[in-house]
Amino acid sequence: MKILNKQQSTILLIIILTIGLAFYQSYRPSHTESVDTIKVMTYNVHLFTDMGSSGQNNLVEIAQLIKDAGADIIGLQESEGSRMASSNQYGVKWLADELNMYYYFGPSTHLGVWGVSLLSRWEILNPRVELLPSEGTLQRVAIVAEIDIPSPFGKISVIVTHLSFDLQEVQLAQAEKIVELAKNNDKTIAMGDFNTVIAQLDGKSINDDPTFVLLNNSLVDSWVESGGAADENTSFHFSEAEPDINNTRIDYIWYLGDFTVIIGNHQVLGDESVSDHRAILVEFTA
Amino acid sequence: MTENYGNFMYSGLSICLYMIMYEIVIHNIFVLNFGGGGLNSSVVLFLLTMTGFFYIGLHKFLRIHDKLVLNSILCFFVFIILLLSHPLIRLSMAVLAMILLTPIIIHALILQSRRYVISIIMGISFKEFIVVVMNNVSIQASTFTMLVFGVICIIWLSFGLKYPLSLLDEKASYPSISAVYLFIHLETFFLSSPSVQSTWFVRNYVFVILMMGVGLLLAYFIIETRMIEKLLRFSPILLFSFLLFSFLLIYYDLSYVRYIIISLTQLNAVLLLYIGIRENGSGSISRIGLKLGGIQFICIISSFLLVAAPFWTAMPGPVSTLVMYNDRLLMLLVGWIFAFSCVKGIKEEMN
Repeated sequence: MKILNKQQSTILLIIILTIGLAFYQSYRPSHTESVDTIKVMTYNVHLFTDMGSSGQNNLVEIAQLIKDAGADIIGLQESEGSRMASSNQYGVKWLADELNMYYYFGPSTHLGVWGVSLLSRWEILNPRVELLPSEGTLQRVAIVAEIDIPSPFGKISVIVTHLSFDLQEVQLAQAEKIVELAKNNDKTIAMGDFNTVIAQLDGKSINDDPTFVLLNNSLVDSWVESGGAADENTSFHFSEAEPDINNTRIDYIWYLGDFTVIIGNHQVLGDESVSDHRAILVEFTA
Repeated sequence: MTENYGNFMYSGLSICLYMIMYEIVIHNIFVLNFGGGGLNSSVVLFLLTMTGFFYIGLHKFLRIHDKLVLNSILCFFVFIILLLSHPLIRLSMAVLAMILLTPIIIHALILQSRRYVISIIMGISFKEFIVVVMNNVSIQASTFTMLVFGVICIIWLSFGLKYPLSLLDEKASYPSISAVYLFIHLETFFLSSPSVQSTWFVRNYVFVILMMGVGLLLAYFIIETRMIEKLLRFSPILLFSFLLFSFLLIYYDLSYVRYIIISLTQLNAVLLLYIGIRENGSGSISRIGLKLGGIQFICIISSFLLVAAPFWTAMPGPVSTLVMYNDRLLMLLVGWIFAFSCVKGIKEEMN
């Protein structure tokens, strides 16, 4: 006796398979083995599209880059993919599944922001979104979370952000908020795209950039601690229309607390075939 | 009216593929015009998504409804070229695919009338399944996703060749198309996307998928068992329910009931669509094309505003003012425009 006809069976089967597959994709094994060092990366992923107008999806390249680098904690910017402009992609989840990591998506899509997310080898605890002062410009956010890293690291606080690039006073207010959030915890890593470029567009150097000065006076620059130069050209590729500001340093990994940066292990990864930024990586010991 | 499993599969997969093409078009238009080079002539291709206007010529001069199998074979090759191409060609192929899929969608709608909702439910189910199989990335993301898309195209074409749709009879009037395309617009932008539903307010991905599936299954059950016929007299309540649930879904994240609202919104949307497909809603078959073109123009405006909203600082003054911080309102309007397109159908039921 047939209970369901072919059409009914098909719809039921497809929906059940969809739900089952979603469950399967959500499984995450835990990592409890102790670690000697942690590699931290920040990467602006350009809404999961490579630089310029070629429009190639860059998720596979990003995943490979992170895998090759062995990064443990990754802060992403421009990670909002849940819009038609980005083909309705849940890129953060895809990366987390591909890399077998935990993820925190970050600010809701309805906020109209460009996305800030976190990937971690270890479980992400108490994540939240903090709205940054953004008067007269796009809403900017920071995500704040804890990651309970196995010994000897213990629980650390992680902040990921993407600051404004158009109004200096707004950017400065946002940086002040980041510093305030960082100082709320004993051990904090604050990373992201800080867009310390506004002053440089006026012909000033990085050391005269108010946002950079504030952050540098309040937090520790892991790139410099690792042996890099503060004004080193590292990350952003501007268009040919603005050749004077090219390969400027606007992505940072700051920290506060009992961390030791491993000297010489700072890296710049990726190129414009992946994103309009490059990934910055540093390595810490406890 | 022809109704068999194969026809529903073919027309359902046609809708699924149309939605995928729609996503590709909007993504590539965005990338080609805002990703680096600035506004350029490729934006004209966006206007070509008013496939209704092409349909008038296709049906009148090419008598496309007598050649639907050939049309499908051509469309299949367009899909293959799309997979292997540079963004501008990909975009062009996606637009061409939308043009070629339109007569298939219209043909199936004319044959199935209100039962076309079954095809739509199948189409959305397939779309969601494909999206989850690809783990919520675009078909261009990797070799695997391209393979999945290729397999779906082969299955689609196989059903089209094995279960060709019956020829159309000349009629005085035809089912209305407006609600169908506005529904497809709503589903593509929001309701059928696990990614959007999971992150609009950040929600548990698995529960989102579960409740999307529950909503579709309930809708299917109500329509398949003909329970919908008893609900037709409550059409105004269905309309009001959809307006309310879509408003709650888009504006609020109500902790305990958020997932139920996902189901209820999807359920109400499908039931409204059933009502919105009026048996004699369009005059001549050319008028279907004309109306469709008009509806698609509204969809273009809506799409542009939704895409522009998160980039309002880069938009010209009036557009910037219109879209600034209005992501929710613009998304709500997508749903409500669809809902109001069903009002004529509701009025007919109440008379």
